[in-house]
Amino acid sequence: MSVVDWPDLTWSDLQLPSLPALPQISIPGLSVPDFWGAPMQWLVLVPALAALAGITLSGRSNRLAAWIAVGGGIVTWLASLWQLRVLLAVDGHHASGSVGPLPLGELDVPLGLAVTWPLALVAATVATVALVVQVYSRWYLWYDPKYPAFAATVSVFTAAMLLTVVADDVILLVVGWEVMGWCSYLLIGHHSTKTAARRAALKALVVTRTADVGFVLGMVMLAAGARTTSVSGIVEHWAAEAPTRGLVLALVLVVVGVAGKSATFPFQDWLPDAMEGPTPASALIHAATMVAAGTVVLVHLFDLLAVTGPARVLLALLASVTLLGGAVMAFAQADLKRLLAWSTVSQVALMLAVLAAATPHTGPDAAAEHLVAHAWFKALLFLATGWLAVLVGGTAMTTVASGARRYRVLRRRFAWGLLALAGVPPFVGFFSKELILGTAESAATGSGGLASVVVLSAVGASAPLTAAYCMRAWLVLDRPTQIEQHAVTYQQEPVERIDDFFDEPQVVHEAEGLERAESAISSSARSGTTLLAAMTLLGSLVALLPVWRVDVHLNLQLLVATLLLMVVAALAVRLAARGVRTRDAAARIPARASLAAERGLGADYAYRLLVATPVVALARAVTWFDREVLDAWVRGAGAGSRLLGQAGELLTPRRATPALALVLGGVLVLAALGVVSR
Amino acid sequence: MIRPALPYLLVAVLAGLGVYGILARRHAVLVLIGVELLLGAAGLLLVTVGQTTTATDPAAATSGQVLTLFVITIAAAEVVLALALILALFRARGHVDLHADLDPREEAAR
Amino acid sequence: MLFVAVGLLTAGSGLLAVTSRQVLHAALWLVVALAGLAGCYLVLGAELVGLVQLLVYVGAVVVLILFALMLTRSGGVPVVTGPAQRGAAALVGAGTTVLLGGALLAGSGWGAVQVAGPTNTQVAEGILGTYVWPFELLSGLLLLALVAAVAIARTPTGGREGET
Repeated sequence: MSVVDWPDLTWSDLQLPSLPALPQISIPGLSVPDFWGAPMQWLVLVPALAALAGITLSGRSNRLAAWIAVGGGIVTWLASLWQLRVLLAVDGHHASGSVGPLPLGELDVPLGLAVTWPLALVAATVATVALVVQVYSRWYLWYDPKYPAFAATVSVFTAAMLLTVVADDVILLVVGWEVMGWCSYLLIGHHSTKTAARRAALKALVVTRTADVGFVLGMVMLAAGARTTSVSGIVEHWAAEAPTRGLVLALVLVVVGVAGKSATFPFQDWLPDAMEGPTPASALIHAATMVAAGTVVLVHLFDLLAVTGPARVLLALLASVTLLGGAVMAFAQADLKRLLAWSTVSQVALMLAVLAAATPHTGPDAAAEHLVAHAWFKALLFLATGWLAVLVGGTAMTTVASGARRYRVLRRRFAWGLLALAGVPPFVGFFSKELILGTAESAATGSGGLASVVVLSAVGASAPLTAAYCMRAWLVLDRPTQIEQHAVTYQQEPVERIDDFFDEPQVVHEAEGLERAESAISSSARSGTTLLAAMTLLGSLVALLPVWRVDVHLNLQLLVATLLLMVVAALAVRLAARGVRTRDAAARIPARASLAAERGLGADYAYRLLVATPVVALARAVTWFDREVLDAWVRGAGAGSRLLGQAGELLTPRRATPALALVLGGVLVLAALGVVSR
Repeated sequence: MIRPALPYLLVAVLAGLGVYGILARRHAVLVLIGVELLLGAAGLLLVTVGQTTTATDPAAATSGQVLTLFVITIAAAEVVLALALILALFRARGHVDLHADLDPREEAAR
Repeated sequence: MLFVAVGLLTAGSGLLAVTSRQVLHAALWLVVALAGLAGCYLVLGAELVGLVQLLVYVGAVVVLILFALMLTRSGGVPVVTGPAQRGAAALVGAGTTVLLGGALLAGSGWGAVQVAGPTNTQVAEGILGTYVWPFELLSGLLLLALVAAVAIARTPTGGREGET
């Protein structure tokens, strides 16, 4: 029925041809033999050691701490490249041990590590982003006395994430997962003198930890059923038979845990609050590590997830709701950082959604690919936002208005980041999202079932929403400065004034512009953001590498329709922004709605009502029971013995002879008892 | 021929007297006299048992008298030490009244 | 019977020794009581023990007690406790007597037995044979008691060394 004759296109047609085998580049004397352990061991060990060294050696010296942290980051990065090289040589799957198997009776605990292509690329991305973040935070937190602790925490965080990526053992997965949880607490609460930061850190910890209960339980069920903790062993064991009720329950629990860590509905509210942390920490948490860990774990377990219907449907529903809700919420935020946070919620849900939609036929690699792509552009956006925040003194939409115009050096970074986020060709986001769309579509028309259909519609609907909030952010950032506006105003009719909720403060530094922006940041941090910006474009090549195991039939009709929808949405936003002084389309939203959105639609209240209050009541009841019932006996014993003691004190003579009489009388009584009872 | 009941009665009486002497006296030396009576009762008991029972084992047969001898010796050592302590007590307090208050701080405060 | 006479003498003088209000009298009644006890030993056929009792107690211990009485002479201090205390003491003492006597009499019965003690030679062999180690230990104990008594009695009390 199509008007045009759409060509039949599969993803493998787009992929680059296989790279030529690399071994011929062996430089004599510089060959890299396998003598220092496997690169994946280095990936985990180096940042962990860097953290240890940073926290013990640096003392109060920020400079030394920065050297250690950045050095560790560089070595980790090199290890991740080496890992890719090794993977190329060994044809796609590389396994290794870590600390050796644990002797745990019947349970087989190999504690192994393993990487495949998607995960190795994720690891490389994580290492790169972590390195850039280290370099950047060295500038961003230069005068912070707690910088050494921050850098060390970032290193630990990186180590934990890399452990989660390369782990082939659920125990290692859980270890990496939990360490990330604690590190996120430390990073978000870095400005520990701020009440809001402490609260946000605590909230992140408690919310993710609550969900972790499901994660750990699910992992334990999987491992106990398979009698091994090896991920490949677990997958092999459970996939061998038809999905049982135990497998369904375990995977549902794991999905709950993943939803907590990835800030998926109903756990979504901790992530926007986590913006209280320093911007580099936000970049790290949002781009490549913490929230992405759920995707990584589900990629590990994909072969099980794909055959477990209920878990897939649950994940698809949660992820779809989050995907659309996050995008809408992002549009309504009055703060650039919070906008990015909600966009992270939405984008991570996109990864989970495609995992739920994918079938064994299509494979999970679209999620990993989107993880990589998201890491590039989201890290770029966060670091650019942090830079801008230093220049203009805040991240509120009114404060950052015209930021990209005034500081030209930021313009390209924001533009590329937002274009990639929206999924505009030829940026990396376009390719990953098309891959996702293709996967969902193939699955929905194939054997994907309900989950795939739900996800396909949600993904389709999310594209214009994402484009809308990206456009909104861009319009605000790229608003003409007041000088430019005045120049234009003289030739135009007066601007229509509407009730502008986000009114703009007077910005006096407009003329300083580029020089100030460039002097504000260290050259290394600047080149880090440049690298990220380049990767939003060059990452497209990564998406086209022949290593992704995707067998996806691309529907060009759908693709063009999506792009058109995005354009329409962007134009609508553009139209809505006309006449608002800050060019903020969200100013058209009623104030009540935007305030509610800023507060996360009362999720806090819901958490308190549904979780915190019952839990606190239960705790009170237990405390009461403990204090009034259990302790009463103990207290009674204490009071009783005190009374006895006082009575004894009263009875005890204070002179020697009566006391002796009592003693001998007692002996007599005892003797009489002995005689009588003989 | 002898009725063992008689020495046993004497043992009981002497022990009761000793206990009474220990408890009813406040002079330390007189308390010691009560102790001596009690020890005497113990010795008499041992000798009586040794003399009125028959045992083939020579160690068992002699044990009554031997143990009494030991008791007497130990009592002598005990008396020597007790008297030395009483002397030291007398030097420290100026009296050997055992009915005085036990708490020396109150003593000092008075 | 002889034992009844000696026993009555012992018991009576013992009673006086614990009830006499005169300190010196009490000590002298003790002499009589201990001598009576030695007589009891003799009647029971334990000559060696009786003689040792006479020597050690009547000869040495009582003399020591007399010395101590004289050294700690304190005029006007009552030697006997109050009536209540004495009543309690009498009760405990009587209880001891009843309990002990009852137990012993219940064990022995009222019948008469032949005195069948060992000879003095046997006792001596026992001391230096079977019981030689306790015997040697006792000599050590005596020596220790002697030295300790001297040390205690010599130590100046009422203050730290060198203060007085």
